[in-house]
Amino acid sequence: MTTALKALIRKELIQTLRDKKLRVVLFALPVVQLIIFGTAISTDVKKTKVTLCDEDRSKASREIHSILTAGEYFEITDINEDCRKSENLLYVNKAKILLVIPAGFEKKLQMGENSPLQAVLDGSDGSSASTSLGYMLRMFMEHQWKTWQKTPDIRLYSITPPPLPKPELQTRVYFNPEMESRFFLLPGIMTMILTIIVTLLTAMGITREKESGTFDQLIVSPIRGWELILGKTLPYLLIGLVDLLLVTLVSRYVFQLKMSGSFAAFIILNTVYIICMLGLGLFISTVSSSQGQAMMTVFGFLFPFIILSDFFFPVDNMPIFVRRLTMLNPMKYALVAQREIFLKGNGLAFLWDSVLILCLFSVIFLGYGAYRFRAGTE
Amino acid sequence: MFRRIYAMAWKESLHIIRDFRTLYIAFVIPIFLILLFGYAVNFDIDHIPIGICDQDRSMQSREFISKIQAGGWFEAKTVTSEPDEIQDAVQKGRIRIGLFIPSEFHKNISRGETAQIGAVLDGSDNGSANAGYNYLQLFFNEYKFSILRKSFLQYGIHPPAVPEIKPRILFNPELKSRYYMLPGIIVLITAIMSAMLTSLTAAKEWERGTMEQLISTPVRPHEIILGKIIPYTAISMIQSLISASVAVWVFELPFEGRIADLLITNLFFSIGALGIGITISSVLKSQLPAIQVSLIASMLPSLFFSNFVFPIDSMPLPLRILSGIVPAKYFLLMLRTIFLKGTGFSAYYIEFIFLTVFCFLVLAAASRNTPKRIL
Repeated sequence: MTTALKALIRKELIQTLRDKKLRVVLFALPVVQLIIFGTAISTDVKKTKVTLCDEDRSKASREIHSILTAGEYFEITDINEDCRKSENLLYVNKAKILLVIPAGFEKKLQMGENSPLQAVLDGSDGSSASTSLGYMLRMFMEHQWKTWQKTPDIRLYSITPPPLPKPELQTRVYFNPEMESRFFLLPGIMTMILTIIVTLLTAMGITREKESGTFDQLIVSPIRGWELILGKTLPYLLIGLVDLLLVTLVSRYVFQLKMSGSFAAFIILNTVYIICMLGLGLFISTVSSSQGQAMMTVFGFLFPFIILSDFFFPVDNMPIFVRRLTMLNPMKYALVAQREIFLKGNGLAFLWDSVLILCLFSVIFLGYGAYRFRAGTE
Repeated sequence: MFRRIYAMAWKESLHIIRDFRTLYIAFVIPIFLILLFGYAVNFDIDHIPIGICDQDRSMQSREFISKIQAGGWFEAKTVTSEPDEIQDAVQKGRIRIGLFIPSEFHKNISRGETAQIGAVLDGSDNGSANAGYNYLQLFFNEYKFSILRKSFLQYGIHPPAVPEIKPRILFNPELKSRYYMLPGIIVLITAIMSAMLTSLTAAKEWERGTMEQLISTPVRPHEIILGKIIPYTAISMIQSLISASVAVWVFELPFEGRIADLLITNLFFSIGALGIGITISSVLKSQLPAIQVSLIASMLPSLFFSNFVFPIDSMPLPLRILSGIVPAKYFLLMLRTIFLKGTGFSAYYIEFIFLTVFCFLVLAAASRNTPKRIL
């Protein structure tokens, strides 16, 4: 390492870390973010507001009432006899589900017929609607199971009740036994934080020097081109790695997310990924003349990266041509591999192809960025 | 006062028009994003790849296999009698669910004993694991009752009557995920683009030293803020109207409500989102931190605290309270109501009041952080 390079790295680190606001942005904000969102993330749908339209007002309809409110999934907000009034509550966002207990409900049950209840759901918030419909169906099936197990009919009709078969489903969930949505999202949040910080820092950091004119001073100094590139990127690599360790520690000790894969694979994967994003930032800085432009361009890249990364939106569900498009997204490889390291416990033996592809992206981004960067300094 | 605000707004508009590329990007990105989102985002999960290990090879097990594929939820990629093969396929991610039917399954059913079916799920997969689990439970419950019903009938007994749920879905009968995701995406794009647009304005003036010049003129702080906000409000409104039109025309999102409602709610949300950006900008006074903070302050709340993907009602109480100050939550509710339900103000007047108060507060905060004189 040459003295010029050392000096440049020192200058860059001092310049970045001296700024108190930037220090907060770089190190405190990611942690706060991770804690808030780690706590917030859950796809469970609890306390869904149900309005009941009870036209029957019988013992059976009161039983329905108690079946629904048994867990913490449903909350009955009001009981009406006029179904039109109840349905209107769905239109004005006062309830999510309307359950209609039709007149003659109890009579039908006593006559031994299955009696339908109508559940009207608010489809404008469809994901919650389908989840809570699932809960509701399951609750009523449990009720059915209990009723059928009692089988009063059997005791009435035969002297020795014949045994009924009991099919049972024994489920085991691999890699994330409690099905905590937090666990599959936390590794993704890490990758996302890293992506945003590293790319913005590099792209805007270099554009800032261009804007303030100090960049020209650097060019006329005896620093060579490659030293300038390394001096501008290495400090950010360092900051990125520190951030990564910080969020990993927080997920470990606040959210009990254990890294079941190898630590070496984790470091290698993320270093390669950070270099890739540094290259992208460098490239963006060469095509932007103001920080505003740099910001917009970074955003134009990162937003599609995030959408197509399998973070919130499952890639498997996308149409085929979009799925092909995701193959051009470095963040997808990094994010999926990150999840595999944390949840599946895979090491480099499994992930070498993702790391290799990321290396390729790094070479392309950094190479092209450096080429344009040098062309711009001459 | 209006003359000074007008002058500020004119000055700011010139800045915007001269930086043509930023303006261009500001209009192209929303179109690009809404197209990408509309095509890519799909939560309708079906044909989940599963594998079945059938060691029973009986009529019952074959019936089970054909039933599980009939609903369209699951697609059996492999049917074998080797358990290891299924384990391996789950580990490698080729199938999401592996089912094991043990060899004594049909015997246990006919003897009236507990007959187990084993299932292993890949929990590392985002979303489809959860959906797969729920579908599997629903399917198995139905299967269970069909078996029971059969043995009831065998003994000549009428199965006991039970209440049944008949679902009907309003506003989105087929529960298309696109319909409820698109309004969320419009909110997300508007929130982020607006906050980013203004997050640089005040900071840029501080960095260049022109803020001191502005302060020395007779313009008052709130006039600076209002003047800066006005041209950006126009851009932000155009942006979200572009997104809304693409959603309606390209992706056939129903539009049941009135355009006037959309315009008014959109106006206030835009002002609020722009206000967030300008407040951050005036507090931090430097572009790089301002952009980082406003990206986080706009994107993450509108993703996490808006009912977009994660329901707020299931969060712990402190976070539910925190979500009260997220304007995206109110705007998303309004958009879903306007697009899908077609109900007017009566459905969201409380939320609308909150949104207006929010706008007023952020603009006040931005003005307070713009000094009257230089110390």
